Amino acid sequence: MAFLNDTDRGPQGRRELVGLAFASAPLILFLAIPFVALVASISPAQWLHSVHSPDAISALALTLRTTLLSTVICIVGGLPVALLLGRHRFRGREFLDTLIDLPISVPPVVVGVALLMAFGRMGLIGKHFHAIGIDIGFTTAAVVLAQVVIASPFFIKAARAGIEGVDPRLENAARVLGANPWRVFWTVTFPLAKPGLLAGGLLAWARALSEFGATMMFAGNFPGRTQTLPLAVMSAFESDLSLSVGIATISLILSVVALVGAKLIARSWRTAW
Amino acid sequence: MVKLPPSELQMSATTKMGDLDLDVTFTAHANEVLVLVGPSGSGKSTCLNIAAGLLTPKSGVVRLGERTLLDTAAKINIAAPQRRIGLVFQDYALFPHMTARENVAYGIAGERKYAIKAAGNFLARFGLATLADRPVTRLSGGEKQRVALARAVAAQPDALLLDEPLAALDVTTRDAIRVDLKSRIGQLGIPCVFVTHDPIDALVFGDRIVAIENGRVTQTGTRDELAQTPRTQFVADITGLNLIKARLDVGKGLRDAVAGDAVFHVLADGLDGDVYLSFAPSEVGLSVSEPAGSARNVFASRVRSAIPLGETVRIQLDGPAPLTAVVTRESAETLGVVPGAWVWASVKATAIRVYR
Repeated sequence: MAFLNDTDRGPQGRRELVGLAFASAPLILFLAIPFVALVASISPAQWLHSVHSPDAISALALTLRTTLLSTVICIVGGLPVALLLGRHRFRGREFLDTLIDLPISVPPVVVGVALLMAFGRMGLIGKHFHAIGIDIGFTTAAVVLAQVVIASPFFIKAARAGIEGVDPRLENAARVLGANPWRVFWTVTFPLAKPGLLAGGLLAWARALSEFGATMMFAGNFPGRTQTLPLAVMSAFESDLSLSVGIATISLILSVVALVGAKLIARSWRTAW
Repeated sequence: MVKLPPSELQMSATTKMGDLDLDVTFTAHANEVLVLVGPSGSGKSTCLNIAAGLLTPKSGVVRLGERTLLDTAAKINIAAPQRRIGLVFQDYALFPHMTARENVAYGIAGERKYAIKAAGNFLARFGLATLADRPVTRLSGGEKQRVALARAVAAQPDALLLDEPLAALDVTTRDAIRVDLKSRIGQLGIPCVFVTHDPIDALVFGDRIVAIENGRVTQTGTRDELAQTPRTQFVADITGLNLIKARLDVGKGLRDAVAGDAVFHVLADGLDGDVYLSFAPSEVGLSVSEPAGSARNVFASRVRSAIPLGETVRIQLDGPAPLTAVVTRESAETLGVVPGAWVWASVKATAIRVYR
């Protein structure tokens, strides 16, 4: 798709572009400078050293394990929700929609406390698990649960937009040609919504990577068990600043990978047909 | 599997959808193209969706030969995939992520390898062999339409529904594609229901025509019946006839038919009471001075609009009765027919068809 660029719009468009560029510069710089400063604040040697520290390695391994698992859970569990919201009208639809926005707008710390009240040792549901000898709070499982609650809305919203972008008449065409609902989904809805689903998965992964508050409250900060990269950054900050910065840089790289992936997929989606 | 002889598609349904209050009944016989014609928003496409099982009406019955596909009273409602009714969608609804061949193979039962092979045969039959492996997004409008038809036919439906299959095409290619489509669906040997808002499509395709206006069937008949004896203004507009509702005196020979302020002298033996009068616009003569002679119906009329159509001019007249006249360009110029001008419009009694 061809978009207008500034030269297509003549001298007036060009003046507008220059004006807006000047007006935007302060905030853009303000957004970029901290990340540049972070990366610039340690030498490559220091960075390599901190990357090889046992705390960084175990935090990275735990982060990859938990976020990949929680992203898979977000996708598997979120897909039916996205289909429900994207394809059907029912009582309580608005309520469900608001519920899904809740983890995005509520402070993650509050989500963490709420998780503790539900699944902690004394929690509404957790106490029954405790009675049969299962404790969820302050385990690796709690890390995953916290990430799922915080990140799944991001998947659901993007997946829903992807599904709503599929012309329902194409699904009707498949049905009239004899396809059952399962086949309609896998041969028509899914392939056409796939870019939206993939982008949603990457956004959810990016959000899980940055999860801190809910994890802190619900899973605690135990190296090797619940200490993900963001928590390791905070712990290292108290004793070893360069280690903290090194781990922060690893975290930054992972997030950039996830976001660029989501962007590339969104672009291929626009140009596909 | 024994193939049953071609059978008819019957449908009757009532439902409400937004502004549309639908109550229709029609039957498409085997080997017949039944055209549903009506203004947009009249409920034609809704009828197809009900027949195909994509929409369940408040109450209704759909039968295809021996099979009852829908009977709301008996709580029968066969799902769309099991109805074996083909549907060619408006704008075709081809699967954009597939090639022409994959689109056509989609509805063919059996193993994928077999379906892909069989799809090739259908594509060849529809003159699409060379385009088989092209993504459908790279086909022209006419090619897309043939793929859509091939896809519907390849699923071996017992009836075929077509929703405005020509509406998405350019005017320049539409005529050739219309002729091609007509011959293809004529050979299918199953009942076809063809939805259109275009009068030309209705007359070209319809073995029989059902006019639907505001969710109601206003007239049903063969092409000739509708063309010659329209009973609603919409049907009259299909062939462009003048249609006037009138009340006919009792009597014989030349009689008066009263339509509001206008009185028409007509010949109508054996009829009286409420009747329809119709006559071609070419039967309406125009003159500047009041005519004398055998033309018995003369009305002083004011020109509302004059639209040149090639060598003729189509003129809308306001007078005791609203009339449409068609005259040559030459005589329109001689008469000075411009909006607001006064002319005498005359129709011979023998040119007026009178029917109930």
